[in-house]
Amino acid sequence: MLELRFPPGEHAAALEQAEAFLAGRGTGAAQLYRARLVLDELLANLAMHGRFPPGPPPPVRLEVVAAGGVVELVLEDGAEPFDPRAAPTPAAPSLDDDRVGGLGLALVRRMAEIRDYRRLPGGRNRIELVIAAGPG
Amino acid sequence: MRFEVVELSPVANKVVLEGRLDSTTVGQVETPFTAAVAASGRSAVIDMGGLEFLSSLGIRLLLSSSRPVTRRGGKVVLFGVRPMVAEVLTAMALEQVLPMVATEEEALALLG
Repeated sequence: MLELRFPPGEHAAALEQAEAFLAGRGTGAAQLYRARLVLDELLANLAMHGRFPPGPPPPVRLEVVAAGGVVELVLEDGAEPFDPRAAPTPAAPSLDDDRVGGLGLALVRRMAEIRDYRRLPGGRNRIELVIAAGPG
Repeated sequence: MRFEVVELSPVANKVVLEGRLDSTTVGQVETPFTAAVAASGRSAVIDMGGLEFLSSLGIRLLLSSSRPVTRRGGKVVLFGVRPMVAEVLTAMALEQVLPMVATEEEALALLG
């Protein structure tokens, strides 16, 4: 298992480390892409929309597990409660529509199974995701 | 993340994308890419063959920079998209907005 901690919004190195960890455990190209995509979307979303209590934002905690051909990701953050399962599904993108929000979470739901969301004691969000090997 | 603009004709540019376009890199190219595509006054074919990774912020950039082109009656066509990038674009129904074809020739043919 890989465990990383980093400030919200500063996830570039964590994405590299997560990818290298998964690649080193024989994760296939498609699954690797989906894992990186899901992390990029959730961490970008947190950086852009996460509301934090006053003071320095508490670090994000990321857990990456590769076992039995399945990738498991756990993300914990100290932002206000946010359940990614409850976010509305956006309309399909269009060139005439400037509102292209919500694409990222829609992608997360297409590429991974959100196995669990809970609010941890002490006021942190915990999201658990699973990415099956799938085709490719 | 890098991109390069090649002038193909008085009415069309080719934009070559290379690297990863995600939340950690989009800021590096957002302004010059938008200027190159949106402000050129030309239609564009976008060479996606060297684009290894695309996330929703990259999709947003493709959409926002293409919008002014289509509003002027121009076209933006993507070609040579790698399989996983294509999966992301298709998952977001983007191929209905920005056509995706295999080769540069097909892309240029679509510009008409």
